[in-house]
Amino acid sequence: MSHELIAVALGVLAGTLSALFGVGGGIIFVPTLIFLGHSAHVAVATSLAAMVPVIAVGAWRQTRYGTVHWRDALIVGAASVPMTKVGEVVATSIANDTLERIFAVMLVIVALQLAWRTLHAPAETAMPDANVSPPG
Amino acid sequence: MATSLAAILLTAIAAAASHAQAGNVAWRDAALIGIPAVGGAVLGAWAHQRITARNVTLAFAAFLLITAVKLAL
Repeated sequence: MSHELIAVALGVLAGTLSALFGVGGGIIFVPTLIFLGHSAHVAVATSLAAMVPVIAVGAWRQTRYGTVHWRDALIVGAASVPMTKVGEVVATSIANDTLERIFAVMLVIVALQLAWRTLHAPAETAMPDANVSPPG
Repeated sequence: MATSLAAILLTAIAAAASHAQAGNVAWRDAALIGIPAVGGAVLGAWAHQRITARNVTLAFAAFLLITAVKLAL
């Protein structure tokens, strides 16, 4: 199978798993991109760009239910912008292997959190609540 | 949750732009993965309403752990 077909298939799978289990898209996008042969630096950067259409459509779908408070979203979102630069500079300055390991630790935390949430959820709602962590 | 998504949209755009300045964004793969992922997310959200099996979620958590070990080694 070509690189393109694999990327598209992994994209569909990553989107499905992210929405199904309520984990962030990057959690699945980054390992996917590393699997496709990218360095951790490129994987992290590319995963952020790949997330944009997913989040945009997700937010747009929610606007139909009138649940988006745009003013609050703008304030919180704008406040996060300067820190994204800090995050990028730190990520870029870290060695590739180290970045990969830090990401692996985060993956373990997400996996444990997901398992914890599932084991402690009431029987009828065994799936963790998607509200806890939006796909993004 | 909806408001958080809208806020994260700004965060993701800013973060992606910053990483793009550093020259690390593989745009082609971002599109190849990100656009099909939109369809996947719709499918996943639909399935989320219907699947209530704990074992499936625990299996996914185990899969994430295995991925973490593979990345770290």
